[in-house]
Amino acid sequence: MDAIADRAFVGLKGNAKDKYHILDETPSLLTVILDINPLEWKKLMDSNNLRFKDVTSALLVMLNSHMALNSGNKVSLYIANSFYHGAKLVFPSFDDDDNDDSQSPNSKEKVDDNSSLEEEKVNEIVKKKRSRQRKVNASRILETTGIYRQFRIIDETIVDSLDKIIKNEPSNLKSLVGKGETHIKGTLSGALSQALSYINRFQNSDEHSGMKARIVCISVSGDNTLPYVSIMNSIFAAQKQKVSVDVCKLGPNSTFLQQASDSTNGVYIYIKHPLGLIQYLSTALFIDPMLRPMVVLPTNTNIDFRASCFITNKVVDIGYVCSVCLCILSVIPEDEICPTCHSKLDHDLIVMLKRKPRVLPLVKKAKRKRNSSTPDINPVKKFREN
Amino acid sequence: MQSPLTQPSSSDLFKSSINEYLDNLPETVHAQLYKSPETCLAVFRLLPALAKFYIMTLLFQETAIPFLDLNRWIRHKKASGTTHRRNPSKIYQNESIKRLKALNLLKEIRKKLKHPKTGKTAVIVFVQLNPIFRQSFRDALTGFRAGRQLDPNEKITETIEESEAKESGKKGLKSSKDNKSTESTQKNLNALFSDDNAKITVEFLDSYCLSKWENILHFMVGSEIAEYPSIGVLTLLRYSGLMELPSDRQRRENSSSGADADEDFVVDDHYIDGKLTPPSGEELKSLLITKSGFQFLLQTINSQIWTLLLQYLKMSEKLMMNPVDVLNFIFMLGSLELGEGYPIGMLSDTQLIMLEDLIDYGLLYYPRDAASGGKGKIFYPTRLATSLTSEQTNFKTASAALNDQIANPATEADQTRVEGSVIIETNFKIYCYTSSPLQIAILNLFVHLKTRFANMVTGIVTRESIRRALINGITADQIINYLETHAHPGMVKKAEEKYAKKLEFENSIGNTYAADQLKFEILPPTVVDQIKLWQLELDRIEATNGYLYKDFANDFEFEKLMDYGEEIGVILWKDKSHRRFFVTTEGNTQLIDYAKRILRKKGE
Repeated sequence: MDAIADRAFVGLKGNAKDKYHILDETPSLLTVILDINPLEWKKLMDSNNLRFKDVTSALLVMLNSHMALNSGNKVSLYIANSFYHGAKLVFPSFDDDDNDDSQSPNSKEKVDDNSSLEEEKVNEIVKKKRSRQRKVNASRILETTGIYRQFRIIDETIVDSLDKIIKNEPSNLKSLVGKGETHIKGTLSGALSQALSYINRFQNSDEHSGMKARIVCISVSGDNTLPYVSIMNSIFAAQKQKVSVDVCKLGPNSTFLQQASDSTNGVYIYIKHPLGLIQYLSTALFIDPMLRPMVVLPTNTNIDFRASCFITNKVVDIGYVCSVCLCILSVIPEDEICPTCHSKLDHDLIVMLKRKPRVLPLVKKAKRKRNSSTPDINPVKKFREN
Repeated sequence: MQSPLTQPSSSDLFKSSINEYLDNLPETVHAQLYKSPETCLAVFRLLPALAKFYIMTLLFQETAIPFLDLNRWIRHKKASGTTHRRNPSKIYQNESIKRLKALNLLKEIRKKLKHPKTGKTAVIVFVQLNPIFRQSFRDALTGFRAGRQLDPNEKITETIEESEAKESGKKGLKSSKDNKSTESTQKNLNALFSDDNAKITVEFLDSYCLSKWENILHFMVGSEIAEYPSIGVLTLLRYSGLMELPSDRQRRENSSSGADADEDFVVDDHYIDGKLTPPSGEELKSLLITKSGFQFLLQTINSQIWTLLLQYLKMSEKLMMNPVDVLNFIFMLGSLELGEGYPIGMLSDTQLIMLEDLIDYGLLYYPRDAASGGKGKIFYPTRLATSLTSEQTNFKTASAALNDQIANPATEADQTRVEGSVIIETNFKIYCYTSSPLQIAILNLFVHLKTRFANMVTGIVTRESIRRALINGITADQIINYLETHAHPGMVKKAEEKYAKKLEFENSIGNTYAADQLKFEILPPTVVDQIKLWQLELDRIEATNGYLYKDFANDFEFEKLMDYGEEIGVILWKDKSHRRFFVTTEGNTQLIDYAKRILRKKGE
């Protein structure tokens, strides 16, 4: 049968055409994660003269363009690293802040997102009212005179909620400082996993089954804010889901995000000229999942694969690895218990590891890192004291 | 000829016809069209994915970029083995660029540049987006308009809001701002709708447009209908050659010119020119379906509408309507929002004429009685209109979603669940969950139906049933396409899983060539192949227009040209020993261009 099929039916365009026909028609979901850590943004603004507003407008144009590609396309936006919310879904918004009269309880809405989506579709009147209400706020900021309605709804929602969040940030920071919390944990990985769950739910829903999805991360914070384990877990989840993670990196370079894009067939771009951001967003970071197999990805090829220490959160070149849970350590904890899996480390082995080098070393048993950079624990010194 | 040129599949045929129509418009019309951001958006959506990507890369580029940079985006895979030299990515890229040029979106600029080191001058081709398109499309995306032109959408919303405001004034509900004003708006809106004594909800519009459209289709298959479509619709059906009067048929049969056998669209425009009196409404009711009418029935709803709209465009040209106005209106429909009302005040005269016709097709809803009551004249686009510029699946899914909402599934749901209900097994048995007489009638065209249940019919695909369809002028591709687009979601899901699994396997063993060749098979391949074989039984010879290349001076030129031709996939037949090959008409210009380039290079 195959032989027949080959000769008779594979015509001029036969196979390729089918494939590209699907390629042209399949809608996709674009999820953007925007890092809005205000302190980092302040740094960027001072050094690069880059305003948050510019980035937001570039982002909005990108979302609009994605919607323009195909009318079945969808977008969603998460923010990360804010002081109060942590990671939060901004668009599509389910209006849990507004006390809507005609709405079902918030909890139900959050659980059953599909029905609320449909509800929104059907309940045009409510939507209209909302957009009117929104318009009051957003029109002050947005200079959109005439725009396709679908775009406007997206833009207004996003601008409005971003505005609200940013305005609350100073007071949030104050309350955080007041509580005495000094180390503010980054929530990019939280946003990433939320986004992945959103995509998963989206792809499994009847309405959008088989929809392709990708994530774009606009990140400004450095690696030290990223919790290593959860980001790695998100990467693996993304890999499994076949969702590419593209990274648009402003500010300091990030090792983990490089790894994230590399292992998910994404694009990692370090932005050197942030003023031309829109060009980056509309070319290199705008490759549809369906186009990926045939387009050369403009990504960095030499990637830093180093991991970070589970205790100090710093990137390590050479370190210790727990034999039970494979957690990475730059120093051995004093109590000799693995901080992740709480298994007891072998004392004799640790003593052996910490042994000072002899003048004539016979056999070097294991790797060791001598000048660990943490100020509080210094294994070599401690050993000597013993 | 070794490999026959397969006809493009039928739904593509209709879909590509709008593209073709756009391609063939003169540049001045293009320029006028691109002034409207909505049209730009719609044209953009019709492009292949790669062309869209190219446009996006060029959109915010102020200067022209070298043409070669476009090539650089494409991954050039070295094809394995010498037998498969065709590079599918390259063919696709070529197609994308060809479309961009045909639409006058991409402009080539040739610049003479001096090489900085050698000092040689070389001509480098730069490309740039059409400036008018670029401006409008940027406007569409950013919402910024420098010239403060009149924007229909904005005006619409403003007017609606104004009317709302007026309304609230009338009711004496002094808008007490903030919370209360929003509540009052909702009340007002409700009042507005109830005033129109018709609940214009999305459900209403959906059932309205579907019943309108199905009425037309029912008329075409000749089933009993209560209300005949309007004369405008009937005229268009006849004009587009989907149906014909008995007298037409006789005339055609009498004029025994056999060459007209495959002239599908019999264009009879005498009555438009006014030479003959147009057939009366009564006469038109006796229309009979033609060969192309059968083919038309097998399309998805979206392409059916496009087919009719395209014929409408052609007809409107004869009626001296401004094509730019007509096209702008059609494209604007795609960007309107379902369930919203739009005042007719913003339409031009031409568009007002169109409005009437579009109402007949079920694309728009226009509450007449309410309008006469002095209320603002407002029309409502239906889902048929708003999904015009979107992909075909949209309607299907939307109606599926609709089914869940409609409380009374017995009648309405059956109407809307026409799509996505056919299961075909490898043993050629067909099960179709439907009770719509229309779908049963369509299936009956090529299936031997056996039993009918309350919500399902079963049948079997046989050689006889397919032959009958083929003789009726339906092609195997059309049948396969129909089955594919109407396949049960379960079949689609299964096919997707199978495809993903195969792809993963091929990729895991690193067989990229096989991965490329994988097909996405919704229908069982045995059935597809068999249907195609049955068609091949009927037509064993296929004619293709093209050019024969022969008498090459040397092997080098022959090899070079043939390699290139194979790469872009335009060579139909070749004979290496006699240095001859045959090229399709479309590919010929490209090949000649290439040949010239080689010659020039040699000359230098």
